[in-house]
Amino acid sequence: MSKKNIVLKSSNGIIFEVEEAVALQSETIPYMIEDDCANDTIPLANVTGDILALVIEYCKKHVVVADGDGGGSSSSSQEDLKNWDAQFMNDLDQSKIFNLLLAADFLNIKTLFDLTCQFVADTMIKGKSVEEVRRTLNIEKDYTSEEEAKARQENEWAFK
Amino acid sequence: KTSSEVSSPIPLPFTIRAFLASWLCSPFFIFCLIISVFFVFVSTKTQSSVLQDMEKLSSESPDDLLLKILSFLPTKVAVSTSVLSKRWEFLWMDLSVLEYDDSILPKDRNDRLWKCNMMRPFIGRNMSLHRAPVIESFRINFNTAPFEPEDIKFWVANAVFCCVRELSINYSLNSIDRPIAYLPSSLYVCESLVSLKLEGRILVDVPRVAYIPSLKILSLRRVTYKVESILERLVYYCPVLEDLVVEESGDLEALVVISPSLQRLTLEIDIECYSYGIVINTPSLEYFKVTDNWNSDGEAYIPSYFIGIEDMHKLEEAYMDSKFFSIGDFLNKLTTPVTYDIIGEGIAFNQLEHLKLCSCQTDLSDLLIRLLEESPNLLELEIYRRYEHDPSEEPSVCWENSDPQCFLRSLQTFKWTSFGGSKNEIELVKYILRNACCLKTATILGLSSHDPKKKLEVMEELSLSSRGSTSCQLEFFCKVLNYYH
Repeated sequence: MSKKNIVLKSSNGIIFEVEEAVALQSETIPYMIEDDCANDTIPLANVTGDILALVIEYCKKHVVVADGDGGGSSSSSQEDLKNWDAQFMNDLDQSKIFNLLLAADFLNIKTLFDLTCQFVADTMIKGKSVEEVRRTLNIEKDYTSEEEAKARQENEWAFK
Repeated sequence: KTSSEVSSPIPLPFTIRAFLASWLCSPFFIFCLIISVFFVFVSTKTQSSVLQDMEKLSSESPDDLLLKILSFLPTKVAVSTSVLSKRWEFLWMDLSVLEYDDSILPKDRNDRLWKCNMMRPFIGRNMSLHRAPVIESFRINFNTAPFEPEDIKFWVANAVFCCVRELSINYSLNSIDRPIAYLPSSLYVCESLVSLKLEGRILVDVPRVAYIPSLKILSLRRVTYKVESILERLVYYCPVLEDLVVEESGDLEALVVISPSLQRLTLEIDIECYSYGIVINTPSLEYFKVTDNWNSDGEAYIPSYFIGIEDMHKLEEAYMDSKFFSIGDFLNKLTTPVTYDIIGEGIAFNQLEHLKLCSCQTDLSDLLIRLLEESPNLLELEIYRRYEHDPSEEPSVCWENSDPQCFLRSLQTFKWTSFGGSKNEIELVKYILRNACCLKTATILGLSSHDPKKKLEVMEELSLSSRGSTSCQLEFFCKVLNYYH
């Protein structure tokens, strides 16, 4: 039986053809298939081509392991997968990470969404000073100095 | 006069009817009707599209994304994001996972006290103002901080009010004279609670009205029970309980576990409490683990005790490492007439697939023979040694002359992680290799203290011994693994 392919189209018109099992890791795509004709291209208006390529790279890597999960060597492959995930995230710049986070949210790919959230939490917030977090996450400081001091005072125990 | 009085009410409704009829037919009324129908149509239409928009908005709201990111951080770090900007100020108050832990506080005593004194009112204030409609998980872990028992009670009550699903409290203060923490009675009727883990100086007291309908996981470590029968009653009020962990602190005289739904039971027995017995009636049990704090250094008195076990015919995995509750006792109890009927034909563990046995057992060989005889579906056998236990004693059974037992027809994996290389041990391995006709792998770890020549001899002897299974792989590793359970 030949494997069924699904055609995805990014917001900037780039076409990706992927195996069904790869695409179905997204919980959003099945609804789109139902809504449209099954053989048509699925347009993803919120995801650009470079981000969609990353999403597909992630899904391809994870679908292989899901297949082999019935075997006995799942613990070692789980470990490999974890390392791969870490490397995958480390290679991305910040703008790609944010767009990947939004894409994972839109496409509803839970493992990728959790992975990116955890990465942002660990690398951009945890262990960073307030100024550093503001800079990284592009947060505009809208407190006056007095307001900030007050907010800090209320949650004083949480600061170093 | 009387007739006019009687007839006068008649024309009045008549006029009303006439008026209504004329009004209903008037073009003005039809116009009004059309207008109102139009308005109703338009308003339902706008309402539904507003709802759709809101749904779209809330699912796409970056606040949700930020909150999700915050949920991957320790609560302390999440709280500290409140100074980033006004938008972030109260964001963390929507978190559904809260964890307060005093191990993150500074080591220095004065700094620590200072932080604790700020943390205490903070948690109290936040627990009553927290904005998340449901608290998925609330964990507190206080070992040294000077929190008061009333704090714990108040916080737990608030968590219960927020439909908490997982509650974990560790209040193991090192000073024994600190007052004990009570829990609110609302906890014992909490419908949302799925997991409850209590540890330390906490009093478990089940009120007259109690029912925890969703509780699946219950863990009680070194807690205090108000009266002896509390544990039994608490378990009784949890109709879907699946996993129970009890670590004894010595103030129970008898440990009684009766639960038709229980699948996993873990008992950690304190050898210092002498005078209690154990009664277990758990017909759905699949996993059973018993350990105690006995070690060979202390000459602890091993008490006599009462053990009653009924109906464990679904058992799939058992782990026993206890002087207090030995496997021999367990076997003796299991083959009492009560269980005999259920088990049938004297086979005790027809579901047992995995067996791990510590080689410190004084009667290792006898036990092994009994267990093997009574486990016809055993797939995996492991002999190991727990790190604090004495080296294995010489097995006393002459394996060479033993008859092949039925268990060996199912055994697929054999592992000995504390192999010492004595003659009797070699005989036991050879016996298993010879008789286990479905064996796939046999793994031997040990021989670390022997000289290379002797090692080679032992290896050679075992590799050349006859095998019941043609596909069996034999592996040697020359080191001893220590197991920490």
